[in-house]
Amino acid sequence: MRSSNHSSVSPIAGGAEPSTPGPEWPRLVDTEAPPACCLPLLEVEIAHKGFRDPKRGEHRVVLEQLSFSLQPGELVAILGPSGCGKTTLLQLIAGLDRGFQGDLRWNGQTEDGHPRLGYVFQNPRLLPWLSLRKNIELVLDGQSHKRRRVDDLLEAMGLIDFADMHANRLSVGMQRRGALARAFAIQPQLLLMDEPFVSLDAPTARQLRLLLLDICGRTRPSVLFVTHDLREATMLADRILFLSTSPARITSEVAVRIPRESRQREDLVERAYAAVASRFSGLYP
Amino acid sequence: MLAAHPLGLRIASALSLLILWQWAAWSYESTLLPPPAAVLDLAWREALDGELLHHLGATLRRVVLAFALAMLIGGTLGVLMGRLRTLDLILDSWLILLLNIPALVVIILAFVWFGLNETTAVMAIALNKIPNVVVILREGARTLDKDYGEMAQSFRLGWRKTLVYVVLPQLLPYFAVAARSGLALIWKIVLVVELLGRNDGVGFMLHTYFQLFDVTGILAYSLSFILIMLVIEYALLQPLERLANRWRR
Repeated sequence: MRSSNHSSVSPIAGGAEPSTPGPEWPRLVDTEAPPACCLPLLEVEIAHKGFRDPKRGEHRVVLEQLSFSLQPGELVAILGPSGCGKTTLLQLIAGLDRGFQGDLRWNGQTEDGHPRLGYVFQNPRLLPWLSLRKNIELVLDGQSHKRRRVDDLLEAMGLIDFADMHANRLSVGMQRRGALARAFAIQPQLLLMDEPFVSLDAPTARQLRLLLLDICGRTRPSVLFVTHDLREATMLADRILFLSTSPARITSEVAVRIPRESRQREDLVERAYAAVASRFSGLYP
Repeated sequence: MLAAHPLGLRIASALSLLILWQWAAWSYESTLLPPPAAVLDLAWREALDGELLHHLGATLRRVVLAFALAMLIGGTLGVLMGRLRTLDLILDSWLILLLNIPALVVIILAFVWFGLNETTAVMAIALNKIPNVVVILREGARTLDKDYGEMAQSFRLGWRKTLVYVVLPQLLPYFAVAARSGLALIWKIVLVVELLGRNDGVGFMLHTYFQLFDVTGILAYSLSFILIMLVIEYALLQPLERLANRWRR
């Protein structure tokens, strides 16, 4: 790992980058790596991911030369300009899209060869024809004490009184909590979250962030979450990965050193945020 | 005042039709337009006699069988065509052909080729309905929400759970539309099939009364069957549809 050189962050708003595999983007690494106690849960190495533009028939490159790894129990935020391919990245990791060049290496798989994966989508995606409880029970597979577990989760989310309501009768905030509960219910090894707190009012969003930290503290999944909110990323993440405009690569990587148990302290978050933001001013308003 | 009572409005509308009929029968005084009471009287006697119920039963059995067959085959085919583009391309021209063949042609050819028997009769009825179900369910399958599909895939729900909890609930409104429009279509066609190639059923009796120019008989049999279809619509299909749509706001 190279040591940090703050002034060498490349401008990202350049637009047309050469797509030839030229010299690597200067990569800012501000961490002596996450504790290398164990094998990473996931190593991502995406050489190339593109889409065919349906209108013009051109091939559009979305992700290129993008690699990182994720430690067990680590909370990692992915930050980048909108439309740079963050959602695509999560979809590749979730196995929803296999049309790419590259490799995903999982360690510590379950018996059927797949990691247990929880996905919190940008929209809650609870099935409106099922009750909230049924929505969560649906993703559990023949586990014992199913009802008990769902009840405990709903209790923690403050949703227990709405368990038997159809999902579409809940407010958006409740649906988001429901989607979080569903992702946590399967006790995932990896939790993927795609801007899970966007379009919520500030107090609700904050409450859900604290809830996320709380549950992460208990069950210790690895979390990869996409956001465009640097303050949110600073508060939640152990490490922030910054993506460039499309084709997206990781331009820099910052470790946020707020201890897990202090992340509810706004002064600490604010100070760390100021430190990170000053370095990336202009890039991520 | 009446608008506030939908049921009252319906009954008033039905009654006014009856009064119109009675009035027309009085003013023409012909055996070709019997009054409602005469029709009701004949239907009642035929029902007690056993003949009416036998023929109603035969027709109803054909309707139910053909309906089930058409929904099953048409539904499966429609969903597959909606999801698999290649299959859609292959079968689309067949579908357009079937949609445009007159029901009578299908029925006549079926009887000529496969004989005047019960199986052929039911198949001929179903065949007239299948393309209609295919078109509706294909449309339904095309509108399946990709978001829910991704959810099912990423949580590894497996095909069985995905079908029952994710796909079918989205298709249910389309099934309901196909079912209701299908029942109306089928029961019009079943009479033609019976008229041409069966010796029981409402269609067969209509043919008999037609040869006798007995309008009272024709009306007694057709109205009895209409009544049964109305009961099925209001007592079975509509409550089922409401039950399925309970979750909607």
